[in-house]
Amino acid sequence: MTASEAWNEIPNEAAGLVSRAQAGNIAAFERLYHQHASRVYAVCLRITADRPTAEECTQDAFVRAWEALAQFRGDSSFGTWLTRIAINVALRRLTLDRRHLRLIQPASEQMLDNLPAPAETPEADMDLERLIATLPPAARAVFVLHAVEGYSHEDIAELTGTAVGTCKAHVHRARQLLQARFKT
Amino acid sequence: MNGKPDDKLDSALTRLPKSIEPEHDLWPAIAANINRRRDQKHHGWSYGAAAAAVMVAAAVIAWAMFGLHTPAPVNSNFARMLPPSSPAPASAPDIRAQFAAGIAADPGLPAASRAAFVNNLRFLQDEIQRTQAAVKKYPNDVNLQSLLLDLYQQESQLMGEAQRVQIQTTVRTTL
Repeated sequence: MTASEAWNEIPNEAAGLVSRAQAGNIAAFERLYHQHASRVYAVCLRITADRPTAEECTQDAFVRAWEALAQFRGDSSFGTWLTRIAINVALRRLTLDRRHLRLIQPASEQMLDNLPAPAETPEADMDLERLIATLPPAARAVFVLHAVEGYSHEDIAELTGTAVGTCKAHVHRARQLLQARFKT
Repeated sequence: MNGKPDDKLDSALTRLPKSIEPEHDLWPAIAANINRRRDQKHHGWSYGAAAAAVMVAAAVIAWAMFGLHTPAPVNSNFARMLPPSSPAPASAPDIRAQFAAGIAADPGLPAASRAAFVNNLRFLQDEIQRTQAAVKKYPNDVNLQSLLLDLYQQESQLMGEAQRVQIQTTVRTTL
């Protein structure tokens, strides 16, 4: 059992922990961290495809969540609210650091060409996780949000500040790429 | 989710774990970051409190000097600086404005002194307004808060200096 699973076993504690954290109790917030860290880290890692960057984004997401706790009204679960913060942090990090999250541009053939041909890749049999990580950043971010996290195209368009059609195109092209290379 | 149900890709996607454990505990760094920001906020409040204290002190001094002597017929310049129909003590910004207006309109002061006072005060108040707006936009910026406090102090010093000149002139005239 992982640490986060152990924390998750504590029943009916989430609401109380959030309330206490909102009152400034950092110990309560630490417990929330242990409950949600692996979920937040997974989202950050899949979007950024880089462990150190994902760790930084995870830390940043929790710090921002702490500062914005007063704004959490419980309209969604704390986990959903926190994950959305983490997604924003990771997307922003992609935009700022790499300056190649060109979500406004429609998906192009160039995106498909960014991956090496399977025959030339010794890692052609890499697992799906690693294959997703090889997608171009813009396509990867949109694909992860839609196909892994289950966000609608409309939600993704709002998160990324781009058109719904562009998101759909990114997802479609990313699926084409993955299906062509995925072997199980 | 997408495509055919039997699609291997879709099937694999559904098997992806929702959680991935970080390689090490990230909490210590998060806690340190939160504590650091808490400290910054605390310092920010300290600067704000110091600035407020300076303002209150300036207001109290001005009120004590002018308010207590308002009935004295000897010094018409001081009496003119308080609103005759307001028995309650005015707020700090009101007192500052009234004091500045009184200095600027005091015929007993040399014209050059009045002009210098008005120009310097206008400059300082413009800077204060700009800095206040910046502090509002970046409330955690300690440098901005420090700058604002410094400007408040300069404004108080300017008013104090003007008051000193005014008292000297009034005493000289009265004698």
